[in-house]
Amino acid sequence: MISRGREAQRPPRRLEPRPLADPTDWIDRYRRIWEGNYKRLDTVLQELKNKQKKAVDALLEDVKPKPKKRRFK
Amino acid sequence: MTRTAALQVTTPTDLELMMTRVFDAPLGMVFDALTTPDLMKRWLLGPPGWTMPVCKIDLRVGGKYRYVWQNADGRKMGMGGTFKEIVRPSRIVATEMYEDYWTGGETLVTTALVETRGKTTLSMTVRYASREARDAAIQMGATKGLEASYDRLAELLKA
Repeated sequence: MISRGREAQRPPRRLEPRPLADPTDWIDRYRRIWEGNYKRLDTVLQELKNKQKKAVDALLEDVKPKPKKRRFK
Repeated sequence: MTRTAALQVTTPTDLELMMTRVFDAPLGMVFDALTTPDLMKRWLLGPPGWTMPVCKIDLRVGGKYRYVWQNADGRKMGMGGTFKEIVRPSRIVATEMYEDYWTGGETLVTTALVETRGKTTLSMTVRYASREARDAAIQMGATKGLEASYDRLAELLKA
């Protein structure tokens, strides 16, 4: 014997597939995130370039001929 | 003159998303900034408010990497993968998989660098395993992004 409770009276439920999200939103999200990342990367690279320039300048300063010490008569 | 600021985002094939950006720095320097944890922690942060407390890299073929980001609320998001190909200083291919939420499964990410007159063009291609995986990522990206999208999800759950 099959007994039926209230369960049987409920209307059938099923998952309705959502419409596919707009790929433009997906691309825009990627763009926003990576624009931020790459802007910060610009700053890091600028710092590395400044550091490199300083190091090169210091090196050039070292090899530059020093002015001779003046001898006192 | 090459512009450096504009980021190009394209979909070269059904399975790929490609981003291209020019940087005003030589190739080797860009490669270093892309692969040195102390430098990456300063720029690879995603949306505003996130930091990168974990950045571990074993930069060799077969080597693994793992990144963890954290926001002000303490929410964490982890990601990792394996290096498949490394050509110093111009090319890196690695698998990529998010730990905490599904974005279409594992992707293959190719980063390529080309230098022209002191400026470096970076292109990053994300390749999905299948169209289904890419569509799932599109769906995820629209409903479950990193920031405001969580609020949107909360709204959806309330409704």
